[in-house]
Amino acid sequence: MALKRPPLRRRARRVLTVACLFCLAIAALSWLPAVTGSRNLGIGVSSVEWLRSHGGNPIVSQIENWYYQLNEPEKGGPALTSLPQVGVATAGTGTGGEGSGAAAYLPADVNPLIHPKLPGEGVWKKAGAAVGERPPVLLTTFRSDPEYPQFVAGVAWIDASRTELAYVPGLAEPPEPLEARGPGEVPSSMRKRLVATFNGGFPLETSNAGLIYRGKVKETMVNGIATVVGYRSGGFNLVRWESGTNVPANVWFAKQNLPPIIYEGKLNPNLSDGPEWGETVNNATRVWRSGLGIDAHGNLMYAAANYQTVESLAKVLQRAGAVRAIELDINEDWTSFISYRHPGGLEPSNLLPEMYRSPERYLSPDERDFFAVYLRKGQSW
Amino acid sequence: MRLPRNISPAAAERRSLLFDVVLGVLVGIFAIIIAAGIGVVGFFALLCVLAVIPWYLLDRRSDRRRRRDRRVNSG
Repeated sequence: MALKRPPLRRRARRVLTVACLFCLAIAALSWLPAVTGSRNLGIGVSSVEWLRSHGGNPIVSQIENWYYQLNEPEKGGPALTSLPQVGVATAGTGTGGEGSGAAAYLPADVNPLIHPKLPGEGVWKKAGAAVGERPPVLLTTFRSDPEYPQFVAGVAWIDASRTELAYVPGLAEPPEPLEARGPGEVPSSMRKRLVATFNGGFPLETSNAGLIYRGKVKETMVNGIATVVGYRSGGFNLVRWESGTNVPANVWFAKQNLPPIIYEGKLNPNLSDGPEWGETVNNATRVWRSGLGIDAHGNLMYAAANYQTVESLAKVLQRAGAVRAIELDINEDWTSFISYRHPGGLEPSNLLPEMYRSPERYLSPDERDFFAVYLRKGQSW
Repeated sequence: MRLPRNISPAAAERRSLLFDVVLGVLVGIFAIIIAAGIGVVGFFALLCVLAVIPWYLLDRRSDRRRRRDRRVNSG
């Protein structure tokens, strides 16, 4: 009997099905451990992260761009009548004047963009309870964009004279190999001095930038990129990196992320899209964004808000008083600023109530790297 | 060595199935080698499977309808 084969179309489909099932099985071997670990992420977000870190970053970024373009907010809308309450008590003594002295410096309240001003808008509040006259962390909120009067930005100010900054690796970011990764959370031994935590920058794979951790290069540093630097002395700074690939002897950590968005008091003139801004959603796309700035006195300022472009985020930081600034991570899944009202990491509180991640986020192992702000040794709460 | 040509329809079906499975696995290996990462391969493989499933279901339904029509015509 002559050999009778099924139609070519069906055989092609069968080959395709087998190829796909084979690829899916191999992919599942990598995907399953990524979504079933003891991480504090849902299966959806960890699947997207897995896809991003296994060659799928352009796909994820493209889909995100389409999603955010479809869900772009409309200008205008009803005016707000109140702002979310942040902090515990008004800082009160902020003058922002040079005469107040570096040790007792408190920032001036932020001049609101939209008038009439809402109660408490731009007024700094203490983040911690019973912190005395020199609070290490202050918080405020203000409406960030006159064209979108319902958007509220949250800003935190961190006193450089009272605090030190630590870079804490997450469980998966930065990726292996990494010496002394740690638990991916604020170490228990440090919680007594913990005053705040906030998200890091883009994953190394998408930021095209470098990282120094514990005085060693993990990823080659790139000149011209905005860099959060922590020194062996406990001090910190925010600089445009110009030290090449070497590690200066006094640097303990240095985390780079994209070009500076503010430098020497001026907005980066090239805040539109370009390859230097990493493989991620477009700069003009309105999405949750966060950034870190430094004021003229060397104090840190963190800002975050939903529906921000890179430019509008930079303007928020500039308005709050930042003279240099870096964009940190974006999207609701990664944007977190948490202050702790009492020593020991007690009563954690998100900077903005719309922040989606739990305020307990960095008190349990987290996927991504972050920064922790501690009181300097010998400083009382 | 040559494969026997005169075989039963069932044996022919088994032979072509084996050939297609081996070819499918080779295509899969090739895709994994040339792709940017296993995530990309998994993503597109999932899309293909999701597209192929309705194709199978439609074919199955039209086969069933053809058989039923044949039974009605012959009865």
